[in-house]
Amino acid sequence: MTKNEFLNYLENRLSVLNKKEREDIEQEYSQHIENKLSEGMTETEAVASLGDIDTFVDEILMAYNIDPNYRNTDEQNNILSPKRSVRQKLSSAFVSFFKMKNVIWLAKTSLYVIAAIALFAIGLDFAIEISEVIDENLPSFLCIDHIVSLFFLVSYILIYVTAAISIGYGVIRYNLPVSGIKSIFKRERGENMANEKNNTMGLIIKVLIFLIKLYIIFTIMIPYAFVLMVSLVAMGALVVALLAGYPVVGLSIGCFGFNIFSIAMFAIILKLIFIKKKGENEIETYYE
Amino acid sequence: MYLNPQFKKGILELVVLISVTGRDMYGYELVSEVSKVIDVNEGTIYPLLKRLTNEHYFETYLKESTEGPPRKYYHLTLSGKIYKDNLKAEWEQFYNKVEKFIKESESGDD
Repeated sequence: MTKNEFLNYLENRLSVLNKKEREDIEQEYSQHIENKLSEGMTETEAVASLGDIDTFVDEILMAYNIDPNYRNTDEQNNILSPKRSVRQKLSSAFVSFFKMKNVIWLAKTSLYVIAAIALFAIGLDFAIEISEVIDENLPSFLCIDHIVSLFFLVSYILIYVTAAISIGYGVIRYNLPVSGIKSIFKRERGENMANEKNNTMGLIIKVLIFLIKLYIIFTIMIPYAFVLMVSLVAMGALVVALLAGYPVVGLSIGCFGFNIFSIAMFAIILKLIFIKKKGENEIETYYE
Repeated sequence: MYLNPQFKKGILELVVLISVTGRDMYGYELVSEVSKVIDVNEGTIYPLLKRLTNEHYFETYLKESTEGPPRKYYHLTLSGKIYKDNLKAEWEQFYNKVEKFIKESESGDD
């Protein structure tokens, strides 16, 4: 076994531990091997001098009070596994549906769908505005019917693509129990680390997720920020008007509510989409 | 030196603790030191160090070395020292009892 093979194996076996601890342990062993190498040993000999890997991996895990026989296998967690009875499958599906990660996934998916619909609505509104101004002046091939139908087409495609990607994203990111899709992406524990590094599929998905995020920034966040600012100014104006004696009580309360809602909504979108959860891979195991 | 693996497991912890008592050591140094006394699979010392660190008997710090990356040194804490003393006392008591027992049984054989 070469040094790299050894370190990869170690990484896989210790995937339950959090990243910092894992790196710490790997560093110790790699330093040990380096020292052996400088004494004139070959890599294979240096690794062999450490003794049986599985023995000391078990001991490392025991040092963290983790049962070394614990494996996060598909068999244990996959609710579609044929070995389990229908009742078991149903009950565990029910329980796992209410796990936090699924709830987050649902929230995210619906946000993506809402984002697509909102884009559609904004665009439609824009198209109608334009149609009122320029309808008469256009040549026939650019007439507003064509533009609107084209817009419909693009919007629907965007909605479906967004929904599909967000579902895929949820499946990959949160390891949803969909065995068919799961087996394609091979997210079994142990293969995680190797795959994440050189899986082109994973890279494509990452790029797509990045594009979706950009898309949301331009279609939702920026207009939202603008509307929010305008409504804050409007709020100020309304308060001044109220103090001056104009009958705008209802309007002010409405505007105030809208402000709060907007800020909350803005924060939720920001949090769910743009802030990466800290060390989610490592922590998940403990919660399960 | 060959040693029954059951003996080895129990005494390794004490040897490691005693090795670090005099001065702080880094992993590889400690492994070589312990190997002088007990013929042990070198890989198994790191988990032990990890466990003793997790139990706060060791503190670790990084120190630059002349060659290669900085080394992680292990330092025996106060609670580590107390633990070591207890372990050592237990070992001595146990050792004396066993020796006495062996001598008695030998004189009984005669």
